Amino acid sequence: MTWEQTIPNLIILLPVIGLILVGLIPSKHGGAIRLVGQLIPLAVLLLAGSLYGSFNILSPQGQFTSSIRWFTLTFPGYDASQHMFVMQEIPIAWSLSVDGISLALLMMTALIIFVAALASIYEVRRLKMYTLFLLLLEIGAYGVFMTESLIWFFIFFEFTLISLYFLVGQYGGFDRERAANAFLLYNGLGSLFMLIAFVMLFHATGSWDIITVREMLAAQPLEHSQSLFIFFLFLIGFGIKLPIFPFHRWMLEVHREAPPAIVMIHSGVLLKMGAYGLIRFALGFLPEIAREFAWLLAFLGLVNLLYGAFLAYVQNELRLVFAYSSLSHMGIVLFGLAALNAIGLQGAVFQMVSHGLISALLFFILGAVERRMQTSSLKTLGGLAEAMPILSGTLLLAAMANMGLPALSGFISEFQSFLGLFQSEHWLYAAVGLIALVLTALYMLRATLGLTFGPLKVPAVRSENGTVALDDVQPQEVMPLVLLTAAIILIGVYPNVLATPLAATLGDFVARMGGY
Amino acid sequence: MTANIHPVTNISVVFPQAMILITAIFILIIEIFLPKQASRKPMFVLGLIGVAAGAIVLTVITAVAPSVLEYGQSLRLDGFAVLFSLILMLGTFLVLLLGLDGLDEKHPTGYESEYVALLLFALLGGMVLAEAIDLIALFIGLEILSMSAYVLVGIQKRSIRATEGALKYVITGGIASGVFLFGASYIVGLSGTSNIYDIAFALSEGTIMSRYGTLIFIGLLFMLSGLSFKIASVPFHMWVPDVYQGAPLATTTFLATVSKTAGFAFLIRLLLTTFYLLSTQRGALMIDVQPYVAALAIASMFIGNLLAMRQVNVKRMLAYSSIAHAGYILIPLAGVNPNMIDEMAFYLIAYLFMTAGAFAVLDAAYRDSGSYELKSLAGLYHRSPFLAFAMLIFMLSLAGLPITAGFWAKWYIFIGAIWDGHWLLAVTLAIASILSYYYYFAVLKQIWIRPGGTEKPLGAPLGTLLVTVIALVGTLGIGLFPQIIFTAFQNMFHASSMFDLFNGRF
Repeated sequence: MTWEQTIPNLIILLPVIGLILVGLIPSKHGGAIRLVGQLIPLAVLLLAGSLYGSFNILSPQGQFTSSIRWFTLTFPGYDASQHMFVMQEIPIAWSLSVDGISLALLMMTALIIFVAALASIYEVRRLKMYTLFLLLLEIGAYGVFMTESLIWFFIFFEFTLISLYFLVGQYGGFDRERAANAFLLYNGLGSLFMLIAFVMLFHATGSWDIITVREMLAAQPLEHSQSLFIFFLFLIGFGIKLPIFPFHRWMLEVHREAPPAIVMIHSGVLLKMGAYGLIRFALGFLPEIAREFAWLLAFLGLVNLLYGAFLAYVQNELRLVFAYSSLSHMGIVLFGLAALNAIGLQGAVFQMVSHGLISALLFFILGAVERRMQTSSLKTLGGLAEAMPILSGTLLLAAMANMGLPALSGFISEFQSFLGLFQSEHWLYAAVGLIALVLTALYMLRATLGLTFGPLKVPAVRSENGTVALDDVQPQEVMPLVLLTAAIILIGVYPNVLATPLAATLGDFVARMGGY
Repeated sequence: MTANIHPVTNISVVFPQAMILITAIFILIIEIFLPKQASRKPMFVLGLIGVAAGAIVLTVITAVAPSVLEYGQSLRLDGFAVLFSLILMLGTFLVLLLGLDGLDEKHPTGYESEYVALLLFALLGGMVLAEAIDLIALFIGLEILSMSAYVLVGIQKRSIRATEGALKYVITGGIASGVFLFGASYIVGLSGTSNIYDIAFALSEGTIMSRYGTLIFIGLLFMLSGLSFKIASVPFHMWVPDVYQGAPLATTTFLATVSKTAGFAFLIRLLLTTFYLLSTQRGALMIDVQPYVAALAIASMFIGNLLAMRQVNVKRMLAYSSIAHAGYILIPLAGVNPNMIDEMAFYLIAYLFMTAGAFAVLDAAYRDSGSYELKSLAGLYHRSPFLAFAMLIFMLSLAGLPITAGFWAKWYIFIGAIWDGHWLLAVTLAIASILSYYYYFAVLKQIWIRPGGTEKPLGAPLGTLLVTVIALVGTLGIGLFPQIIFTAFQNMFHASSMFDLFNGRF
């Protein structure tokens, strides 16, 4: 195994080492625990950066592939020609690989998790347990985007489920346990839909390896009804995670209750796992069905887009404005997927990355405001620009990125998604969806302008003792703000930083779907 | 009778059972000479040694035996029997370890030696169940196991709950035995023999099936219902919560692991050997039986999981969860596939580790708080991080989440059910698992999230700690390296053991 092949393994291994280290440090050494909790995401970020550096942009295949046989399953197959059972030896492997899509999402994940780890310094209560579950969450989040095995995909997926349950249930707001339970049951259901689909694919192809399954399905497509069934299992399973309109309730509760650092990861990374699953499996495995039901994806995207935007407009709680905004922006990802052409898919991936960065930034600022004001209710807040001009300025920048203003990452991703859908036969949805862009501007401006301009309002609930002063950005807050803002501007000004490594993979992807 | 059905008779088949029996009697004799105040710990150690010796003898016999051995056409030592006997012995070993530091410090029973002896007798009955191929031998095994278990439940005779549990257990058990015998009488009457291989042979001859098919079917359903008492599934499940709650914790662990495994061992052998291949109008009897077994499995999964959600007593909750797990394990028996025995045995092994572990942690908490309420676990993470971590793994495993033994076990059953297109079973399994998240995570919520009344460090006595460690190693070890179990199965009775049980009649 060369050094480059080891890097993906190291990215998973580092949080595991971190888990053991933190487990061994007694909980009274808060500083050491915090240090481990921050160093590991930093190391992962650097490793991911080195992957980016040595990525071969011409190759559409997964790179840095490493595969180790984990165990062999002896499973009966039926030999129809001889009318008898044959025992097949099915290898199940630990395999990691990074292609263009994985790379883009991995970079984003590493960055957001690092920033979230920095933002976690405000968690002082039960720090050890927090760090432990955060590390477990990291294993899952990195692993999902890199694994080549359906079983490991499921396992990593469940890691994030288990860890987020505790992070929300322990460190959240008032109603945290209910939010954690809603999260657990909804997402548990989603992952079981996914598992059923995986097992069906296993029975059809006799393999758990993503590449093998994809190639076998391409060579020998399933019966139409069966593919249809699997497609809808994926759509519901990942639709819960994304979330798609009727399944979104849990996501609002988590956004409302979870601590800011966790919402950064949740909104920034975990929602994208749903979109990633849709691209990889629903579209990648079953392109014909995806083509047949592209209108449904576009329709669901439109519903998400408008529903989220309308509801974001009437919320009086900043957290919920951002939460509905996330819901709305996931609609744009669905638009990009529904386009089923290179530009649309690229827009979808761009939107995943860009929205991840923007929502992480928004929720980081929200956390900063909450710490100072002890509330995030729009009714009681106002005039923040007077007391904290830099923070307010960054908030406006993030809001503009969220609205999709040019030269920021939101613009480039929304533009491509819409363009893609306009070029496809379902352009009507895109045309209607344009309304949402106006709505986005409306709700973002309503929320942020009311928050920042005007005379400074200090909410009555704020008590002086034990609270952060009404200062502007503090030294420990500089790094997250700078990193996220820089990434947003970089993608906005020079989109090729993402587009170049994506091009080959997406080109291959679209070619396999028979598109252009 | 044709001779070729039965392999060589060899007395060594009963050696492991003899080891257990001798140990038990030895313990009872020593007890007579022991002064009243003396510690009974050595008795438990003696019991542990007896079980370990039995396991070693069994392993040696299997290793040197040229082929399948039989004794008196009533006990049969094949790979299947060896596997299940070893599971039973491991289970009893863990139960003895749990009892090592006193069954219940707050309410001493004074019958510790008898307790050990009865546990060994019960193990003996269980091993007979795993190896019996004769309905008479089977019934004797069943009754040895049941009679011992009745007393094990009611050993704290001054506790009202224990007495209530024991009484319910005796009455339900008696009825279940009656139902089983009633069903067996049809079969024995029609075939004229009590050996299950001979029964299969006799019933498949001539026109018996076409003339008496209905009677045989009724007999089978009665036997199935009777055996459901031992495996704690619907329809004889009503005893489970009260008995689990009332019995001392070691007994509860015994009932959940050893007794259930023994019941499954015989159920599997009976159905596969005798009934599943009898030809009927629709092909084989197994196709006719399928809906009934599936109904039992589905009813068990739903009743167990739905009622467990409402429990505040952890023992009672685990009792309902035990009903649900019996439902999961019945799935391969309903949706027949060539891997079915592997699947059930895998699940039973995983279930043994995770349940014993969960009970051990509960035991440690009980020794401190004197309560099995869910709330008494609150704040355990701060009192003993190790026990909290262990319980995290056990609960994840019981819920079927990665990366634990329970995950692979459920996954294996799941892919087996879909293999033959048993969608209803597979989807029910999935939904039931989601329901179970609710109450398993309720335990974890108490341990990890809720603050407890005290932050005083909590220690576990040696035996309990050992069980926790063994169970943790087992649960995580199988979770990380499932190959261990697959290889063990291959070596023990080849993956096609089902065909072995069919005795070449497939």
